[in-house]
Parts: sequence; structure tokens; C-alpha cells
Amino acid sequence: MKTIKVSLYLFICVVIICFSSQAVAHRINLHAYVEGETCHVEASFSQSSKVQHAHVEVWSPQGDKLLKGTTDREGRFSFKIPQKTDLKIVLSTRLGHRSDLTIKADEISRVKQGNDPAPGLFNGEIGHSHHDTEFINESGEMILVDPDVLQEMLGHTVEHALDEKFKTFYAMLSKTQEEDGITASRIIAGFGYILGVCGFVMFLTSRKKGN
Amino acid sequence: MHISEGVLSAPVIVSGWAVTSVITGVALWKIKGEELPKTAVITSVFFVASLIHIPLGPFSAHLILHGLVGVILGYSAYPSIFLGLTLQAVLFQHGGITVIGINAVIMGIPAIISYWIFNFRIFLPSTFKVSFFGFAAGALATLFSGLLLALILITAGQAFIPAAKLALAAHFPVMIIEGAITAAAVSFLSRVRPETLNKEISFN
Repeated sequence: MKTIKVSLYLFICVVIICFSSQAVAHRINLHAYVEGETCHVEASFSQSSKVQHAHVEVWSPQGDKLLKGTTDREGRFSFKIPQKTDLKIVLSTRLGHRSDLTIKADEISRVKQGNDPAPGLFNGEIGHSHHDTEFINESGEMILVDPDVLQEMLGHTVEHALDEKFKTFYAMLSKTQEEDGITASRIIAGFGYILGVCGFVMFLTSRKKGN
Repeated sequence: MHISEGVLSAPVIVSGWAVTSVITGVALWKIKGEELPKTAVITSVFFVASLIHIPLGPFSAHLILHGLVGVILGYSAYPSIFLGLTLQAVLFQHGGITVIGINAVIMGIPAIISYWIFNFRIFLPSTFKVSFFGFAAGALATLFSGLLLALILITAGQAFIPAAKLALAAHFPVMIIEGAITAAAVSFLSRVRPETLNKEISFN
């Protein structure tokens, strides 16, 4: 009877633990996405628990520290991308948690430069080549735009529009990556390993006793 | 309470593995065959306990239950925690593979200390002694783990006092909850299955 009671108690404990809605990982989920010239880093222990005030460092492939900062209350940190190379983002907390990830150079579309060439285009400060495209601005004056500048301007505009459009998509994508580490099958696999190891040790101790 | 990979220097990691191999080896040598099913069940509880997140305060903390493991298993708690941590690292990515040794030190040694604390119940002639010492064992195991963590983080260039304060602040709610769970579990076991807990005068 006692055995049944104890087994039942332990079984209920394990079931509650396994299926508790609070069952979340305690590792740092670190993700980052590039949006135009800015890189957004988000760190969380779980969906409800963000990694606040953690130290973030950005390293170049050559091992130079490019910049550093700390996450805000929402576990976020954003920085202007300093160069178009692979960027290693390292996040660490003061209690010995650490996580890192690398943003590949080809994920970075453009890098923050001194001045965007886009403003000023409609102010008439444009070179007059033979192939310039004609535009009429708001006040009815005709202006000429260099095709290269026009292309660059269009590129920027399209990129910006796409960034805006995909903003929620990026965030959604990073959320789906968050909780993929722990599944019920992994928990059950863990139980299996524990039983296996204990069974193996039992086998060894029984041999020892036999000798 | 898990230290992640890349925080500690190589000598600290190697020392962690050295301490863990010695204690695990000795404990496995002394373990009795009939204790193994109990060890398996308690290891399973320890393995999943870290998934229970305690959403209190600004820090993120989870249950550890190493005090309970220590109280029930005695010296076998160390190999049990080592196995639990290994599986947590492999299956849940808690901590990391290279730091299992040092994480086992952080959680295993306080588990053994809580076993000693629980054995002191023989000196208290009260009906509540099992619950009282169970609570003390569970709560103090967490306290000692916090202090050990802070001590080890010194080698990573942190000052002891602020790191210890932070670790204790982060784990204060956990301490209380761990104490309560350990007290409830051991008082239940002492009523329905007293032989599960080690004999009161067993100090070996």
C-alpha cells in the first residue's frame, strides 16, 4: 500500500512538472536581425522573462571589440552596424550566463555612412549628364536626375519600404525560434537515459556482488 | 545557477572536472545496488526541476531541488546531480558541456552539505523536526550554491561581494520555495516510507 502511495505521489509530481505551463528553459535565447543599417538584438530566458541589463559586445572577425552596450528592460539592444563583415554578438550576465551568435556579412545590406545621398535630390544639386532623367517637382520646376543617383535613391526607398513591411515578420520569426529547444520528447528521452544509466550501474554492482 | 560556457578560464573548468570525477568515483564505488531505483527516480525529479521557472522579482530563476536530492540520496546525490546536469546540458542546453564539472561542484557539494544538515535532526526532540530540517536543508543548499557560484565567478574577474549579493538576491525566492518543497517531500516520505530517508544516525 505504501509503495502504491509513494509511486502515485512521485508520478503526480513528475506529471505536474512535465506539463506545467511554467515549464520553460533556463538558457538564454539570443537572436538578432538586421533592419536596414540597424541590428536589433533580443535576449530572453523565456517569453515572459527578458534578460534585462545584460552586457552586450559586438566583435569583428579579427577579434576587435567594435562596440558594447547593455540590454534594456525588454531585453533588447539595437546598434548601428559599424562595418559590413561578420559580426559576433556576445551577451553575458553577471551571474555567469553567456550566449553568442554571429551575423553573417551577407545578411547586412548596408552600413551606416556619413550622409545619405537621398536628401537633396529634389533640390536641384544634381550633375547634368546627357542621360539625365527629367522630373517635375512639387513647385512645377523641371529637374534632371542622374540615372546612377536615381537608381541608388530607388534602391534605398525600396529597401526601406521592405524593412518596414517585414519588421513584424522578423520579430515573429525570431519568436518562433525561441522555444524550439525543449519538447516533451526531450524530457522523456532524459528519463530514458537516467533509467538506462541506473540500470547499467545496477548491472555492474550486481556483478561486483556476484564476485 | 548554471554557469554558461565561455565564462570561466580553462584551469577553473579543469579543476571542476577533477573535483567532480573524484567525488563521483567515490560515491559510485560506495553506492549499493538496492539504492539505484531510488537514485533513478530522484535524478529524474532533479532533471526536470530546472524547467520550473519561478517568475518572481527582476531575475530569472528556476527550481533546482538539489537539497532534496541530497537529503534523500546522501553521497549518491553527487553522481545523481552530475547525470542530471549532463542531460540538462545535452537536451536543454542549460549551461554547457565543458562546464558540467564546475556546475556539478556548485550544486553537488551543497547537496551533500544538506544531507549532513538533515542528519542533525536527531538532536531535536520534536515532532516537526523532519519538516524543520527538511526546510533548512533545501533552503541552505540554495544559499551555499549561490555563495559557491559567487566564489567561482571571482576567477572570471568579478568581485565576490557584489556577485554574491546578486546571486542571493536572485535566488532568495527560490530558497524559500526549495525549502518548502523539500520540507513537504521529506515529511511525506517520513510518514509513508521512512526507509526512503537515510537512517538518522548514518554519517558514513
